[in-house]
Order: sequence, then C-alpha cells, then structure tokens
Amino acid sequence: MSCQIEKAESRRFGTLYRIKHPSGLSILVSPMKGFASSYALFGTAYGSIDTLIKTDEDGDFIKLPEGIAHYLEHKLFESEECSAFDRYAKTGASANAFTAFDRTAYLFSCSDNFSESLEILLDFVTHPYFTAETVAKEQGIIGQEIRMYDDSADWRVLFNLLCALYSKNPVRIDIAGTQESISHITAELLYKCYNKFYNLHNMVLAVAGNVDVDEVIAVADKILKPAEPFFLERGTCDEPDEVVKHYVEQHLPVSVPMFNIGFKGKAGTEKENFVGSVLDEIFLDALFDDYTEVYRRLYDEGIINSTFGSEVFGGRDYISLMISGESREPQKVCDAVRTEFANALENGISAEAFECAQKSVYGRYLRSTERAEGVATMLFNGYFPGVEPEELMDIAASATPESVMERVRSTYSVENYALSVIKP
Amino acid sequence: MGKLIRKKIGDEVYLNSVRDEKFKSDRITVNFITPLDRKDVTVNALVPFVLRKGCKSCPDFTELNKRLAKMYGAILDADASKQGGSQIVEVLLQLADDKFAINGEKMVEEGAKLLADLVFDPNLDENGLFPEKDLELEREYLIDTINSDLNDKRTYAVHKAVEMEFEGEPFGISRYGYVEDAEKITGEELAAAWRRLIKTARIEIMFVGPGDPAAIEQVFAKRLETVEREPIPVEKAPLVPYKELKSAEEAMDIVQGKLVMGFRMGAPATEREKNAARVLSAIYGGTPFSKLFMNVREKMSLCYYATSHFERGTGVMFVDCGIEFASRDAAQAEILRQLDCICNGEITDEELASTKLIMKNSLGTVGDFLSGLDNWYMTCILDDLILTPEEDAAEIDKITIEEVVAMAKRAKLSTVFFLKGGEAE
Repeated sequence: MSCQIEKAESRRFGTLYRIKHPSGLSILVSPMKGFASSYALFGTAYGSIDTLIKTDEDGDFIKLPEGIAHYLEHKLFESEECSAFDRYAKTGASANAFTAFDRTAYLFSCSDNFSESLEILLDFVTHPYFTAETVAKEQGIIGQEIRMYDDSADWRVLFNLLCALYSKNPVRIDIAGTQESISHITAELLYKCYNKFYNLHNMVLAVAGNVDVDEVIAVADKILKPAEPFFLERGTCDEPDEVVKHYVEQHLPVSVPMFNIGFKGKAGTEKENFVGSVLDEIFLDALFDDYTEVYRRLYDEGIINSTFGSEVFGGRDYISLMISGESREPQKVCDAVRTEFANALENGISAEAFECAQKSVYGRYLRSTERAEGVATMLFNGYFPGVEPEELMDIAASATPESVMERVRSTYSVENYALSVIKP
Repeated sequence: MGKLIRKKIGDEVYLNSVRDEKFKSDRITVNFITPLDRKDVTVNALVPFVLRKGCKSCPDFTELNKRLAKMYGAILDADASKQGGSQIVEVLLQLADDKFAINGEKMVEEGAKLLADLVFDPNLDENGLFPEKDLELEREYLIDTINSDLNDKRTYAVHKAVEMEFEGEPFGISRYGYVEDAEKITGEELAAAWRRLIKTARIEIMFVGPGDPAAIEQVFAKRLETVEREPIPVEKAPLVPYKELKSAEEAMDIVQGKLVMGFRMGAPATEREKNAARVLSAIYGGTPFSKLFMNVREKMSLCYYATSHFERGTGVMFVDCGIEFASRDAAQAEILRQLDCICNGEITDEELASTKLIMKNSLGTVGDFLSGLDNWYMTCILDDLILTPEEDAAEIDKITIEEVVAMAKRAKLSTVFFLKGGEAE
C-alpha cells in the first residue's frame, strides 16, 4: 500500500501536501521557499480534558487522575536507553512539547539535519516506555512546574475564570493537575492512556519550512508501523449552558490587579467551534480593539492600559470569549464591556469597526504564514476540527457584519458571563 | 537571504537594511541610542510611550489605530530597552508589503512616512509640549510597567539579582527607570528629553523585508534635512572584573522559591573570549542536555527549570531556577558543584559537539524571522561587530574544551539572590 498524496497551491497560503500514510497517519507538509529552517509538530487529539477512559468497549468509563495527559507528555521523552533530548543532541534540533486542553504536541525546529530529527520525533513518540521508577522521578519535576504556575497571576486569573464559567467540563481542571492528583499516576495508567489515545489515526504530523515532501514520506515509511483500527468513545460531561458564578477573586502579589472577563458560549461540534471562532475574533476586535470608542474612553479614564486585549477560547467541546488586562477598577471594566456587548447584540456593529476588525484578523493570519512555526501550527490546529488554513483565511475574508452578528447572537449572551480578578 | 547593507544617511544616522523576498511583511524600526544614565533613564523611557499616541499629521490616538487596522492590522509598537551600557528608545512599524496591497497602494512608503511623522513630528502643542492628557496617562503606565516586574516572579528575582550585581555600574540601571523619578516628570522635561534624543542620540533605522529600502531612505533622509543634529558618541561602558560577593533574600507570599546566582567572568575582552563564555554557558545550563538540566532537574528532581545565560554586554553569567524553599541549599550546592566539574575538565567531546550543534542550529533559524533579523543586527550594531548568524556560527565552532574550561576557571560567584515564601518583612 502506498501513500495517497494531494497537492494544493494558493497565493495566500502557499503549497500544501496532504498525505494519507499507509500507517494510518495523516501528514501535512508545506514547503516554504527561501526558508532555511523547518518546524515539525507531531500530536494527538488527547489533552487535559480527556479525564475519562474506556478500555473495554462494553465496560464503564474510568476516571483518570488529573494531569495525566501532561505527565504522559513528560514521560514519553524517556526510553529504556536514553532520553529523546540525548538523541536530538546529535542533530542539533531545538525540541519541546506541550499539553493543551484537547491536544498534545511534540515538536522541533532546526536549520540542519531535518530528516534525522524527524526520525527521532516519530520514533520516540511511537515508542512509550513507562516504569514505576521513571514515573516516580517525575513527581518532583512536575511538582515544581505546578508550583511555578500556582504563583503565576496570568495562569490563575484564567483558571479561576474557567472554574467560574464551567461546572462539569474538565477544561476547568489545571492542565498539570495538582501535586496530590499526580501522586496517583502509575505506569499502568500511562500505558492505558497511551494505547487508547496515541493511535496514529488519532494523530497528525504537520511540517513546514525548508522541507522536501519526499524526505518526510521516506522517514514516515522507515519509522511508522501500521496502526491498529481505531475506535474512540469519549466521555461526555453534560455541561449546563449557565455559568457557575459571576465573580471570583484571588489575592496574589501583583502590582496592578489583573482581570479576565469570560462570556460562555453554546458549544457546537469541534468544527463549528473552530469556524465560529474566526467570526468571534472579528466581533471581539470590532468591539474592543484599540481603535474602538469603548477602548478610548476606558483608556482616557485611566481604567485600562495597553495590556487590554481579547481572545476566543475555544476547543473540542467548549467556546468562550475572553477580555482581559490590568485595571485598578475591574468591575467598572466589566460593566463597560457588558454594556458594549449588549449594545452590539441589539444594534449590531458599525461598518467601519467591522472593516478594521476584518482586516486586522486577516492580517494576523497572513503574518502567521511567513513563519514556519506559524504555518505548521495553523495546519496542526485546524486538522482535528477539519479546517485548513486556506479555508480559515477564506472565512475571515468573506465575513460580513451580518454573518458575524448571526453567529454571535446564536452563541453568546450578556448574562452568561463571569469576572475573574487577581488582586494584591 | 540578503546581507545587511549599512548606509549613513545623516550625522550619526544610519539606515540598515536586509532585503528578503521570502517575507510578506516589512518591518521598520527607528532606534535612538543613548548612554544609560540614572538622571535621564526614566524620562527617556517615557518618550516612546507618548510618541505612540499620535503625531501632527494624525493627532488622534483612535484615528491612528484605525488607520493601522485598515492596513491589515499593521503593528505599531514603541518601547525602551537596554543593552550593555546603552539605553535604546525604539519605535517599530510592521506592515503588509506592497505586493499584498489590493489597490496598488504604496504601503511601505506610507508606513515609512507615518513612522517618520511619529518620531520627528509628534503632536506637540503651541508651547512645544506633549498633550497633558498623554503625559498623565503614559506616566502612570510607565510607573505600572516598572512595577509589573513583580507579576512574574522569575523576572522579578532576576531583576533584583541584576540590580545587586551591578550596583554603581551603568548596567544596574533599570530599563524603564524608577518610580520616584517617573512621578515627578513634567511636560517640559518630557519634551526636552524628546528633543535631546532627536538631537544627540545615535539613530539606527533598521529595515527588514521584501520591500525596497530606497523608499525608506528617501523618506528619512528628507526628514533629517530639517533636524538639527549634534550627536554625542555612545561609548561602551567598561566591564568590571570583580567586586565582592553579595547575598540577599526576600520574602513574598509565593509557593515556589526563585534562586538567582551571578558569576563575573573576569571581564572577557576579546570576541573569542566572549564566545568561549557563550559556549560555557550553554554547556553549563543552556540546553536540555546541559549540566544543570541533567543534574539539578533530571537527577535530583529539584526543579522544572535551571538555566544559565551569559550576557555579552556585561560579561556576567546568570543562573536561575525555581525550587522548593527547603531545597535552596541543595540546589545552590549542586549548581556550584557542576561549575567545579567543568573547571576540572569534565566535559566530553560529545557534550561540546552537541552544544555547538544546537547553538549553530539555532543561529541558522534567525534569518527566518523578521524580528530575529532586526534584533540580531541591532545587537551586532550596538556591539560594534556586524556578523551574519552564519558567520557567528563559524566562530562558535572554533571554541575548544580548553577554552571553555579556562573561562569556567575565571567565573567568580558575585551575587546570590533568593526569593522565598513567607510574610514580607
């Protein structure tokens, strides 16, 4: 059996090869002319929100210890002989990994020895090795990582908000777990999770920059074994539409209070969330970016500063709008934001604000495409929802004030909000 | 990738350009370089914050931001930074290149004109002062920026260690200045600071992107004809080999301790010595197979990060890690022990080869980022040594184990700062 390869060209995005490898893995390759470096992301649709696992099709779901996906990510770097970092040391690649809410990715960037580095990446991620000793060793390291985030106001203002917005969805759980929860992680559980979620049919490899598609396929041919047939039943959480509470605050040593305002949306399918998030981005920009009336008013009153910004927080089964920054009067900011929101829901957005927002959002995507990391990330992020970068940019380019408002009105409301504050 | 072309376009005014077709945006930065001075640092840091608000040709902040948004979200940033003994006031514009303009607009030329307006023709009133409102708001924001170090505990601890290490030297002057000075800045002082920068600072304009630098040269050369210049040369501040060992602790309501240690490297004078120090720092704590990563993190499980970083501009190497409060002594001892190991020659050929490989690989990626090229060449210019990243990689390759060990033996612990938990005293 050989690879199925499709090639697509676009002026905006460039060249894209879509490959269905006989092992079961989907591979996306975007060669970028003139670039010296390459960037590769190899990841799975498994993250911190996957707290339930069913290893026996007829059995019940088992609840996993919080932070296990992240723990697994750390441990995957180790094998019986050595660590993946020891291997990368011979190729000079800069390697890393991250665990997000609904995905985990292993990556590297390099300007030389690409094939060798890709071999290492595909090999170590597809060869797990977990023992009681190696699991025990990581407790201290991850324990310190957790502590580091506990002291981080940025991190806490977000997670406190998530707890205020979501009562059941595991997105409210800290990605690394707690020192207590990770103490329950065993090698056996890691293998269970690995075998369930790290099936090539549930994964994708995205590569961009100074790359040759035949080289990529050759490495995949060399390393990857055909994957087992894949069937995954994910646990559901029955999250209510309403928020848990409207206000949460925590005291941490910060100089100026930080706030994060969230509007909880009605989540659709993963694809609907992803597509909708583009229109949501335009909406947020049109209301709150630095050329808007409300920004100017709050800025001139000294209530916000240039840390004020917004983003769409979306994923597999959750989506929210978030507006954050520093302020000595977070409640005033929240009131102003909600008033603006209500006004927009009622009266729509102005043509000029829409033009500014659409062009800004489109420009951001365009800027991503002039970095290998940006291209690989766009490919990776869009794969599981089933949306390619070209389509993403099309959605931004073809949006209208009406399509934006239709999306926002059917997804969000002014009442479904929460304000999270970190103050000294 | 195009090479850097450096052209003098005024009295101590230079246009530096790297033309590169592979990018879709152009990036132009105007940098004012002046010596770091306790007297002026704060008011100088305030200048970019007010320049960002508008200019004579576009005095309204909201209108300015609208204009940028319509240019496909052009980025306008203004900031103050420092390198070695210099303060740098920077205004940056990054925008989509002409080849993406829908109606054939000359985006790059327009962008250059806007940038020149913001820098050379700000929104001054009939008394030659910045708008009172901007002075008030941006002064507050400068104060908040100075204090915001506190928010990231790692940054805060490193900053305290740097202050301690360089007390009495220009390197110890805070990047954004001091709250007590910021509070007192008047409109006259701010306007005078701007005038002083325009008149006396060295001006380095950096351009990176696919566009034609000729357009930018024309815009700025023309503008400079109306600017009176009396530049003051920027001299490199001397490196002090060693003073004394200083140690301090601070308590804060936190759960993870931050340990920062500074080592004077005996004032490395030549490029070769500085490169030896860079390689040493990478072997010691700059990679995922470094001494600190493999021992303090992997073997002893004491931390999530333990890294070292050598500063070319100051000749000091800093180590920092996040640990349990109770692990402080063990971590500090191990950090010192690993340096001793290096002094004893415990570096394998493989370690050296791998470290150089990752450093060279990293240098090979610089040319793929607009910001990478901008920052790279600005650092070179301030260092008075212009090399391409590839040429630098070739220099790194020359360093031997003996040179690394010799540099390690020059390291003298001079600062230890520990941010711990508990009630602030």
